[in-house]
Amino acid sequence: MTQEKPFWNPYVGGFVLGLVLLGSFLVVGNGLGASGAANRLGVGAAYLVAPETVAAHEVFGEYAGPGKNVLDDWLVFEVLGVFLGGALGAYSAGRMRRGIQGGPRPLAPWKRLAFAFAGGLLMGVAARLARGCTSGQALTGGALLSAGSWAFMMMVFAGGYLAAPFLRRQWR
Amino acid sequence: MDPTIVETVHGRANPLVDPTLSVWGWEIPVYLFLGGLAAGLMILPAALELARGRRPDSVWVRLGPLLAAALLSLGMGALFLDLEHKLYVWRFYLAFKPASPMSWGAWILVLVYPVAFLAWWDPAWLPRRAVLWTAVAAGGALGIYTGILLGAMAARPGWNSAVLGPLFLASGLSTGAALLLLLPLDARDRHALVRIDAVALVAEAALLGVLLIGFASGDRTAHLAFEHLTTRNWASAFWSLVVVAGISVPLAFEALEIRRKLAFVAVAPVLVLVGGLSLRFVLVLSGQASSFDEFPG
Repeated sequence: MTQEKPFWNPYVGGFVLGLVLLGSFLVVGNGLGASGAANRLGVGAAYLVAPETVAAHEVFGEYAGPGKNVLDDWLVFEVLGVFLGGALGAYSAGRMRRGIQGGPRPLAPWKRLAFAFAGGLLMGVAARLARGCTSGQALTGGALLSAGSWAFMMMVFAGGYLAAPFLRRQWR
Repeated sequence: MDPTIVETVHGRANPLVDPTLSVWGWEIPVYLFLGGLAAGLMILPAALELARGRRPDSVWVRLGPLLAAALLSLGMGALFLDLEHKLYVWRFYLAFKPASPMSWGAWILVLVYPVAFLAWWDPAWLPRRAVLWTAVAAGGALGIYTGILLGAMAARPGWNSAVLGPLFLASGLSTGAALLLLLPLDARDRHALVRIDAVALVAEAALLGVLLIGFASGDRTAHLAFEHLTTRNWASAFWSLVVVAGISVPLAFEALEIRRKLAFVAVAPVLVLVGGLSLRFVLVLSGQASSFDEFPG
């Protein structure tokens, strides 16, 4: 069994993530994002079931419809790269194995998955309402000095601090 | 004089003067992928046996030639679906035309079956080394022919390269090793196949580089092929699925496994198979999209 390597210092990781964002602007001319790819997958799934309704929809029709490929977007490929890079990072650090990650309090796997699904759902809806997630708004919009993105980031921190007292005992 | 405008259409502006060559759907890329895979499965078990002087320890490696025949049959099924006149398929076997890659291919396909069977069966009345070398030769011919089939079509700038033959052979060796790596194997065979796959991926990357350099430094039609692959509609699939996911990332996984002796994970072989299939799809479809129609007549 290979010894697991320690995680990177989060500040170093944050700095390198900033360089990744810079590289992304330089190489492909786009910033980073994540929820946009999930959004496209969702629209694509809906299009498979109800193509006419989706194509006629004011918002979803921009992504899917006759002559359009819902997956032909930079964010879809970027998220694929995130998965591959994450897998390579985990393998190189000797920590690639099957499992369900969670907090310090052990939970039944189905509960952990149900909470993760609920959290992801909430995050997905919120990201659509905010027109972006932490990657698209805070990272990319923030780097472009967009006022809305900075407001978003402040509200993310404010929301996090407000919710923390109710949830932090789960992490002790 | 009557001011009526008389419009005449001549030369290539006439409809159907330039032939319509975007006629291949999913069947041909799938056939080319399975053909390459079969080539790899013919060559690898024979090469391992020739190198070691005894049959491979793993059952699945010994079954490689039979797997090759089964996958080739699937691929030929896809090829059959693509035929316009399916009932005339037997006419391929009434003639041999040395100048036609398709005729060579038809006969190579027929040759592969008995050779695959003999390579697996190992009858005592046949010299084993001769059988193994024949399996290597038949697999090599199969792998190269799938690339020549496209490369011989000069009317499509995206296929007009002699590099496609060796490129598809390297990809076939890599995908053949990847498929075997997904099966239960003896540790020695697994280590050997991971190393072979890594070398084949490096060769594939180098040949892909030669293909792009050839296109970039060629004439206007070659430049068009270069653009189709690297910056136009197929660029995102080419760079992400073929170059990054299909070659670079699995090569990194295998290099880590070899150098740091990390435990084997199935990520690299799965990515190699996805990359091999994507390579065929991207080259066939971008080749069909690259046409002389784009130049003014």
